[in-house]
Amino acid sequence: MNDNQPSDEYLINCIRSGDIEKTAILFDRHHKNIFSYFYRLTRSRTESEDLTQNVFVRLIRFRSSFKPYHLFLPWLFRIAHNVFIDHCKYKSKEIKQQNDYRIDVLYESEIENDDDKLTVFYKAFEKLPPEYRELIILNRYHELTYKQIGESLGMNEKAVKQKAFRALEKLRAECKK
Amino acid sequence: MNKSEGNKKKWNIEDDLLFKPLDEMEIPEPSPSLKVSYLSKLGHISTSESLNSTNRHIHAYIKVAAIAAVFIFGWFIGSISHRNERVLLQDVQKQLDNNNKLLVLTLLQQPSFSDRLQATNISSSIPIIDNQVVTALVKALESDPDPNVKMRCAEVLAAHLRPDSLSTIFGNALDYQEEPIIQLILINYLKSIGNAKSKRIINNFINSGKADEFVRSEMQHSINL
Repeated sequence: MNDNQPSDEYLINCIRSGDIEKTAILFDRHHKNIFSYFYRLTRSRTESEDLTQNVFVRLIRFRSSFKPYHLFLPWLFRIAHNVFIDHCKYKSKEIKQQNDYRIDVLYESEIENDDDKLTVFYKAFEKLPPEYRELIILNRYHELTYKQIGESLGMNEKAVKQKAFRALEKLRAECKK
Repeated sequence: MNKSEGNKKKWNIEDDLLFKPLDEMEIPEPSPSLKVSYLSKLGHISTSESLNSTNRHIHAYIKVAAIAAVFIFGWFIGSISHRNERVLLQDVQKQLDNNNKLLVLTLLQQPSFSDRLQATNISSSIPIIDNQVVTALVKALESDPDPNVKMRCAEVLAAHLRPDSLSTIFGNALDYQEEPIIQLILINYLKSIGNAKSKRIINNFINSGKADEFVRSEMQHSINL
């Protein structure tokens, strides 16, 4: 980040003080990042855009929950995580499925070509619990540390490490099938 | 971002192969309408936030005004009830005095000496005695057969009346007294009043034949002292 630019933490503190317009700067900086996070989870452009917008709306609504000891990005991903969970619940209600977080059910209609490597991978990937998938995406594609992922997903660093290990084991096993 | 590389997952070649399809997945750019849509939403939120802020200020003023109104109303009700209470107490006191007066007048007519003595005791508790009570007490002082009742009547009258009136009342009552003790008490009251009228009454009474021998000698003794 350019040193002349105000930090994310400074901006969110301004927003907390009532300068809501500063959200536009944070949106410019992070909306692609959040969009890609949702896209990897949903593989739907329109839904990812809706969810991204929702994250930045919630950022304003829950700005007072940002504390001085927080880092901005894990906090933003925590909002994204909650938005995603709520979205899954909403989708699952729509299709009247008991398992709220089964994205393979939620996004089945969008899988077009079964021979596609990505689709094969996704079939295995989507069998993982949602928090495992989020954990892998946050770690591999958004370069968050275990501690920061823990902050985002609401668990401690040790639990994140254990779950990351289990997620990989499970994914490898599913891909071998 | 402040992050420790040591705490990050180290991906190996096997992992890279595993995630290759996901790594190669093409992430589209979010459409430009996303930003336009969000900025429009931000404008709405900003406006509603400022309206809420204004409303919060207005609500704060309304709250203060409401609290003030409640206090003023409470004070008003309190003052009315206090005033009513005072009026009520005055009424009760007045009623009580009236009852005591009637009791005094009735008891003074009773043949029992203890009833009449009770009447004098009650009359002493009345803050202001009216003419009816004064007349009854004077009558008792002059004509009651019991000296104790007479003594208490004199005491009550001395406590309530002005010296001028007392001189006249006690001077007149002195003429009706036969008991030396009552004569002596009335003379002592007149002496304590100390005005010219009282002195004249005392002199006239001692020089008249109505004064008891014992009283006369007591008075002469006190004059000699």
